[in-house]
Amino acid sequence: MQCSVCHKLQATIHVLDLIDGEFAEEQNLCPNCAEGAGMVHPKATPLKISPEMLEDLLGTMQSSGGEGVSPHPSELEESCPACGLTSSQFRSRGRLGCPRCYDTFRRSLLPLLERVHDATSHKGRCPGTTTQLSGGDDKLTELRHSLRDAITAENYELAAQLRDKIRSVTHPTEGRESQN
Amino acid sequence: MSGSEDRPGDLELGEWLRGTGPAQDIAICTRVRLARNVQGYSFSSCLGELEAQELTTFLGNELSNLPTDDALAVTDLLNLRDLDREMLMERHLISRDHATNKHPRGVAVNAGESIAVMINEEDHIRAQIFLSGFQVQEGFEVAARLDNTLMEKLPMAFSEEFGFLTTCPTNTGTGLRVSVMLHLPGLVWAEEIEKATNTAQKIHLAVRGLYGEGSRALGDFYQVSNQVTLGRSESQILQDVSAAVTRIVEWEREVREALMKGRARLRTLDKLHRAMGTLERAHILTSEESLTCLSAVRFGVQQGLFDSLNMQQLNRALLLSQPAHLQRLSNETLGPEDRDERRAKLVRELLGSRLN
Repeated sequence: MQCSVCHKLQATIHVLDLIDGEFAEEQNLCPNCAEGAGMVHPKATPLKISPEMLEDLLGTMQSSGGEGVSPHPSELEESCPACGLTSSQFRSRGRLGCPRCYDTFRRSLLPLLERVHDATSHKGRCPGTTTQLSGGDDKLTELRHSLRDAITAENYELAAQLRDKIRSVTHPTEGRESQN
Repeated sequence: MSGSEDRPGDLELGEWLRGTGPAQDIAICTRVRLARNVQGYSFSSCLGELEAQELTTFLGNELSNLPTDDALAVTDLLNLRDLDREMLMERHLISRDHATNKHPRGVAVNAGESIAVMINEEDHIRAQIFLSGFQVQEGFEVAARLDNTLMEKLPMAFSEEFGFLTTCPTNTGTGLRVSVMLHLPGLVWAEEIEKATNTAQKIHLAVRGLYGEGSRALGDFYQVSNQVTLGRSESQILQDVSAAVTRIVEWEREVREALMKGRARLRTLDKLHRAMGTLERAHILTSEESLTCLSAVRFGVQQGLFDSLNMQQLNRALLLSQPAHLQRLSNETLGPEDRDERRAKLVRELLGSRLN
């Protein structure tokens, strides 16, 4: 198969574009054109961070100060009030100690999540929701985004209303006797 | 919880090697995993010994009494022999870390080995569903039902912002990892596998070896799974993995066809028969050589060669030739050299050779 750009060399790189889970476009490129287009790194380095690389990344953050993922100044000496994990322990292990750590180390976590997942907020199932396999989670996500915006804007009245709406979706059975 | 006693049916083929299901010629098995943590406890790595034991016992009791049709048998891994833990790992029911860790922990497994819930692994609950062949959607539906049942009984650590909270930030959000184990001898032999791997990585999927994270792709077996768990819904993740696996399966089929045509055919046949010859005649067989040859013969059987063999025999050889299974069958601890000798004998027997 010939390269679809230079039409001279053999295409050895096949690039598949994925939109909403469907293959939208396929390009067949020779190594030179692929590299020229920034499709591949010279040594075919994966573009995304795999889970196995996380500890290495966090280790690098610790030794070099990192690039955009170094601990926020307010977290330099911080430790989690619930489990006692320190920010340096988090960076060396790459693991959090308890749910509260997500709040404690939030500012360091956000750039890390961005690099690992290309996202910083959840989309999908919540406790109390039933299995939804197509699009049903979008409304909830939108409500959560609005809630975050309302809190940022210190509009607490709106935030309380949004919180109640979210609760009515995620805990439809609330009000009945707890099973726990 | 049960201790180290033998269980009947231990050496049967588990769900992952049943050899049924869609695209089973290439897709060996689908695994759907959900990571969950119980509110009110630190994550597993920060639990003290007593707390870890308390949580393991509590979750073990909950799991053994779930109101589901498929009862789970709970095993306390701390009381299990090393060999039995290794066997669970070879059967893909627990991770390597879960087999070797020294903390209180357990596993709950159903009779068909299609459900295995690791207790107190990196997260408190790692619920895994295995379905033979390529069954991403079906696997998730089973996982979601189990998850719903668990969430009715247990309050899970969850935040509106980050989703299900997990020990490692790489799992937070949905906590969902969908992997399909693929047998790709065609792509490996045609030296196309690196391109397939790069393609998968470009769409945020990971390609790993037979035993997941950090393992090598022995015997041309690869696992394709999602890397991203945050910011994409379960349905999007399922679509991503399905689309990539469908493409790789098609690709593998095209390459296999090409390998059996023209000048390539002779080289392919030579390779397949040499592998069969080794399995039939060898008296010393290492794990790696065994997997490499079984992979080739598996490919051969799917191309209509080796009439006397079927996939069940090959899957059985694949499972039972692993170190812990070999030792269980021999009922003794074996060093590497003894294992290689027993492995060669076992494979000759399983493949029906009369040259023992």
